[in-house]
Amino acid sequence: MSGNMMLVDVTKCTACRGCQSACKNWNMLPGTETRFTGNYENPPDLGPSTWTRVAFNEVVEALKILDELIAFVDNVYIPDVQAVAGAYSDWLDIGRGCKNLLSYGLFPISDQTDGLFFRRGTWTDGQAGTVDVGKITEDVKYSWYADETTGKHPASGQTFPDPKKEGGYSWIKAPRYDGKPHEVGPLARMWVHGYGPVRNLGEKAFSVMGRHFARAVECSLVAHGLKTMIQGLEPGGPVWEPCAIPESAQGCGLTEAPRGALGHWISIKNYQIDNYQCVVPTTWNGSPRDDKGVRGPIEEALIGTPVADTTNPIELVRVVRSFDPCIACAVHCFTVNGRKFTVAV
Amino acid sequence: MAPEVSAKSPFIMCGPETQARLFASGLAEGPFPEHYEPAESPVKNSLSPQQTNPMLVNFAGQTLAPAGSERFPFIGTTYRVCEHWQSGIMTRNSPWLNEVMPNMFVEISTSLAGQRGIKNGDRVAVSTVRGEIRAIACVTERIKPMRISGQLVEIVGMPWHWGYQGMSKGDSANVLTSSVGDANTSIPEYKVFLCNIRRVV
Repeated sequence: MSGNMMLVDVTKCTACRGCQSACKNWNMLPGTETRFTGNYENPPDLGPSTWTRVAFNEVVEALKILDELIAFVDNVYIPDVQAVAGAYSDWLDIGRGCKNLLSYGLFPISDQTDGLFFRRGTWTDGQAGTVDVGKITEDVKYSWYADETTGKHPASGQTFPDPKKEGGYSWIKAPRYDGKPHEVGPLARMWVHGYGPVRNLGEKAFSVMGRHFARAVECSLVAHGLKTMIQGLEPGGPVWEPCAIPESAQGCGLTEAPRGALGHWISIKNYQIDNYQCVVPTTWNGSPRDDKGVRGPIEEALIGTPVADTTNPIELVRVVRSFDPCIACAVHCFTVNGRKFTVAV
Repeated sequence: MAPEVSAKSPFIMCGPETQARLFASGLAEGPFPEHYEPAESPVKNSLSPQQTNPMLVNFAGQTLAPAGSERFPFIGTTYRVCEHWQSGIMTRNSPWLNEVMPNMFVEISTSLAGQRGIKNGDRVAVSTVRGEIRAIACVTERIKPMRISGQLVEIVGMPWHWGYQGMSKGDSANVLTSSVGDANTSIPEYKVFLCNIRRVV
């Protein structure tokens, strides 16, 4: 007996079942009598007159999209980062930064450690610590804000612009944890969480390539974690908890944005917002010097970066980009003699 | 206008200028767009006191269910499957195509199935103010109820390919749909009507 075989590219399959009919056509197999039993799958099984059959399994659309996403992250994104890291391993030694890390922790999940998918914590001077929000302050000596607002905790923070201030060079305040600059973002989250592949890099994790590696492996962890989270969703269920606004109150909300630790502080008086302060990820990473003259994480990471062509310092841009900064799409680079030019990132 | 320019314009059938128009000529409706509910709708028109298009053509003077009908609380809609073509007069006479798509069916959400005690593969009766048909239920996550004017409205979706003649016979969706045409081209409103569904043995 000889029959026709078919080569099917299942990545292009839309479940039209044209292959089923084509198989019957080319091999002159008879159509059998079937019955619609509740889904599009038919005939119910392979048999002497059915050699090709598409099985139907209904899955929630979001899970299907997530599967495509996971396949991309695991089969394209991570191998790409690994290939680049192998070819440019010198970038594992460039852009060390302040080596202090802060993560507020992410995704409340009851059956995980600390009730969080990614742990909350700090890494200061090589020591792990717990987050004490009382230790957060913001300096403004080198920021274009009034000097008397310096050193305040965000809950009592003030934002009075002083654009002509002598010595000021940034619109970003200088947030400090326990008086020290702290880097936030995927590297901080993965390191504080204690994720093996990132911790095993040791000192080299604190680098341009280390940040890219941490971002990639975190992406994979989140994508796989989303599978469980999606199954816990109730379509049409409430997405927020209604609450009564108190007459007066103070509070803060801490979470992790993709770029890093994000905190909002609010005080309410007479049912109205009296003060609202945000300390966002790029404020931590892009911070200018503090009142003691200590550089922010990106500034510190730039020190010692070798630049091949001073008229086109792309190496500096790579260091800055490894932090994924959210600033107005430009980094200002200064040469030693004071000539200024701008490189868009 | 050269074809390589006009082909990139947004309204290629709008005469030589191929751009959108504020005023259109030759239409039975007014110059500016207005929102009307379909001839049969689960809700009152929220945007206008005029419920439906006053220029609708009701070919056969058919009865229509009132807005928010309690007898027919669900939205019915019709569509195609790729195995059959139009009324199926050719495709429903092909054994190979009948094998893969053998019967008239209706698709409902898991929540509507729960409300009406309908299981996947059950026989159901779908009715409108105009008539009733029998079909097989397909309970699927792909159909979701819609939240309209604050209320959750279920949807009953069905193909229209079946009829009383041919190798594969089945009830026709045309029994349910209304023969109401739009004001300008009289294209019938087969995509939306009010219906009810129940399990039958």
